[in-house]
Amino acid sequence: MNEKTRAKGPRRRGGLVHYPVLMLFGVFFAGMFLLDLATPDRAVSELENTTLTQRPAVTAQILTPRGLNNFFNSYSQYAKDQVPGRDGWISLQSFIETALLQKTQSGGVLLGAEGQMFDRSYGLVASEERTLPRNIAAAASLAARWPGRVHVMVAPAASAIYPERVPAAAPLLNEEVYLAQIKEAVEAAGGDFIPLEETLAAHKDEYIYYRTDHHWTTLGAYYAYSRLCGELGLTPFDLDAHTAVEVPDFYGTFYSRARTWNAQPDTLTYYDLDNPLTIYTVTGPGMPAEGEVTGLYDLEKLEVYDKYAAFLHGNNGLSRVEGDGEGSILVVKDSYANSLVPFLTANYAAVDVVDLRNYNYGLDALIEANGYDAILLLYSFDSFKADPYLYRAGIEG
Amino acid sequence: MIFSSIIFLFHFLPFTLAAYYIAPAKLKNTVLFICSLVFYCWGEVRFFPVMLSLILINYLCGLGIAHFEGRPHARRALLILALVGSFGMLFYFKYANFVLESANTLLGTSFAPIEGISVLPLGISFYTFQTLSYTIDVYRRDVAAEKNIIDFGAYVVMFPQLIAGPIVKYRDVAAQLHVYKHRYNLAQIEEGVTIFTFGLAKKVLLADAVGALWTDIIGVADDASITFVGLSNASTALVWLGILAYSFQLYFDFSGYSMMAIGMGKMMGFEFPQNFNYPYISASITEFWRRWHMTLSSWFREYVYIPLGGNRKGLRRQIFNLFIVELLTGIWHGADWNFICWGLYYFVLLAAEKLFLLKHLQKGRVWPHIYTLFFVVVGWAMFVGNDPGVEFGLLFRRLFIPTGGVSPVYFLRNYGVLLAVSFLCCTPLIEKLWDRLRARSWTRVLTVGVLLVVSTAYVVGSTNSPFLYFNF
Repeated sequence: MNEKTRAKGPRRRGGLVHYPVLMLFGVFFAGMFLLDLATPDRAVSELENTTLTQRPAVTAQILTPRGLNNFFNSYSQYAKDQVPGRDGWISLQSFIETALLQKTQSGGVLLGAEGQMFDRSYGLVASEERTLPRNIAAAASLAARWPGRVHVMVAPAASAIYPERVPAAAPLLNEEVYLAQIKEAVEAAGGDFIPLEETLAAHKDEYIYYRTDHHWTTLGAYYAYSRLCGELGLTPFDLDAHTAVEVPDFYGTFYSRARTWNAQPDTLTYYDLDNPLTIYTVTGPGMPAEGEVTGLYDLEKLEVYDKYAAFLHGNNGLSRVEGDGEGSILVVKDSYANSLVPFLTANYAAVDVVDLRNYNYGLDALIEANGYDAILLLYSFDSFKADPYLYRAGIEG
Repeated sequence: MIFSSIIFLFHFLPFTLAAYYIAPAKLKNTVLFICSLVFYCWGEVRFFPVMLSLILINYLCGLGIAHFEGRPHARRALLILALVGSFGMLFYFKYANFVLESANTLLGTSFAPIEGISVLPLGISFYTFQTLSYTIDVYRRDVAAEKNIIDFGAYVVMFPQLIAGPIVKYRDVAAQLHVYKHRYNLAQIEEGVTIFTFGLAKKVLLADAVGALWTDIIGVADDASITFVGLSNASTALVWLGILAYSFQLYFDFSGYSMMAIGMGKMMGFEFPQNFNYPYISASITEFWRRWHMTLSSWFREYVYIPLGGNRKGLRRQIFNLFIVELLTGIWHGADWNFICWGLYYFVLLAAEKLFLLKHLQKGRVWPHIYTLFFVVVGWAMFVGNDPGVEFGLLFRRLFIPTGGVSPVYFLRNYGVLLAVSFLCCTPLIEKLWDRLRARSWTRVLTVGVLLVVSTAYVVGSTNSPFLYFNF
């Protein structure tokens, strides 16, 4: 396989049929070209959870250097996004990587034992080095401003609960050190830090983390919730008294990165509850007046790839779940909380849920307006170390 | 537009080849010229004038030198004009800020850096050398001046070798540029597509894949969100594994690109010179430089080393000439001190071999290979020493002072098969395998077909970027 090969080729004469390699090459590229023409351009890629670039229009702008540059760039992007058979090619690469080259990772996801996938996180990246301390400060500041009410839970990644399933000797980030820092800061500020590792590890033979997704399962969320109930002296939601609905064939975010051919799909469980959920239209600090009332779950999402988005209709800025208990709680959270919040209906009359990524105002006005009995800050460690919205909103109040 | 991108493979290349084949014989160079200009401008339109002026300077000086035959002063003046013009541009874009910065550091001056030249014009180091070979050859009367500016332009900006070589001398392709009818035949095109496919496979299946081991350690320069071990956390064994992976990557990347260029040249009826010949099997550094980036070495030999006197003016002068060539080789590779060190490092090794080591090396069987590989790999560490994420001193401390840290076990496990394949592909064994496979049509077609499909999967697969940032 060297440039020298040219010297040795026998000189063959005659028509194209005597050149099978050339014919193959021609057919391959002509075929790709025709497929490109024949297949309609897609608007979104469900698997990649993103919109795809459309063919850029040729306008008078291309007469300027900047306009021409932009055109070239968007055309390259378009060619990349709309290449025929895109999903198939990606799966083929993943197959070769894992089956032929025997790699233990694909698309930046570690492929562990028993079909468990893990986020590859060798250490904090530069932006996380800056964000994590700020988020710790934000959590502590919230605890200091509302003494006695703030409870902090940080969910460990699956790799912390199942180290034996992680590919051998993979140099994964050690979360323990940082979780200890969070605990110390929150407690020093008068807040309550609820560690989850032991609780979850005690149930590790159960199905508490998805294999192909970065979230915990509804059952995992339930054990964390039970731990919270223990802390607050509440009676947990009775699983047996409610109907569990199972949705099979859930391929999560790890899968869309790894795209392995032999991934074992997950089963998503939700409890059929008829508590109404109000998604507010947020226009300023404090309690908004207007919102849209709907159910706890967005059932349409159960039909598509992104099934986890069914919980609470995804990450809305501010929403309220009407519960069957007494008093009220504020949950400030990332998506890990979405599968936990339904259980809180058993204990509170109102569960307010804030996702700071879609809520641009401080929390204090909201807390004052509603006088919550408890405030729960619930994040996965993965987003706690990286989420810039938490400290931006959290510190200022 | 890099060769291993979807836009190049499935839009630019098929379109250009089709236009080239369909075009009437007389217009082939025009098609090649225009398509190559589009290729050149695709990334940065603003460098178009740079290319245009480089073509014009060398074209006009070439004509002038031919015109003033018999007037040595005028010829010399025009040669100097072409040299100053071409090197001036190369210097301005590639070295000016480095020189200013170095002056500020060494002399305490405070020159402000020149704005807007942080990105180099595509392939400037390659095409400057190509056009210079033309003007110098015309001056030496080794080749006739090119009268047709389209033909000359097509040579300078010819897209296959524009961005990463091989450095094709004008006289290598001059004859073929003026063959308008029957420039290529089917057998040649078939060889071209085969070599192109091998080059593509080398680039995307080997270079990019094995290079990931190195970026696992130092991070990805233009994407700070990708996790990495960090050089300061890695154990000495892991850093050695990483630098080995980097050595594989560099070779496969560069030689893969050269093969793609040579293949595309053949598809269009041009024979470009060979650029790599299994450099990692060399049994001496001297041999390594005869096998690595051969067109650059040959350029320096022809236009620097031999004009300086080569080995004809005594040993002392020869060593000096070697020093100049290696210094320039280092500088050519990049505007930074580590490249200069890297060039001088090879000067020391080559001089030592010339003076006494070579005769011992010739007697050895295994150790000369180990010796060569060791120094080449250490050379690459020097080469990569100033890349983002690498700190020169830290890298060498990690390599040579045994230190604990993240162990290489996981990486050996994950990249093991790939490393073994990479090793195989650095040796002529892979060529023996291909000789077997090419003997029958069906195995030949199957090999090329599989490589084409798998390479496409990698080209597309590398662009898989699910939007995951807090998407729910």
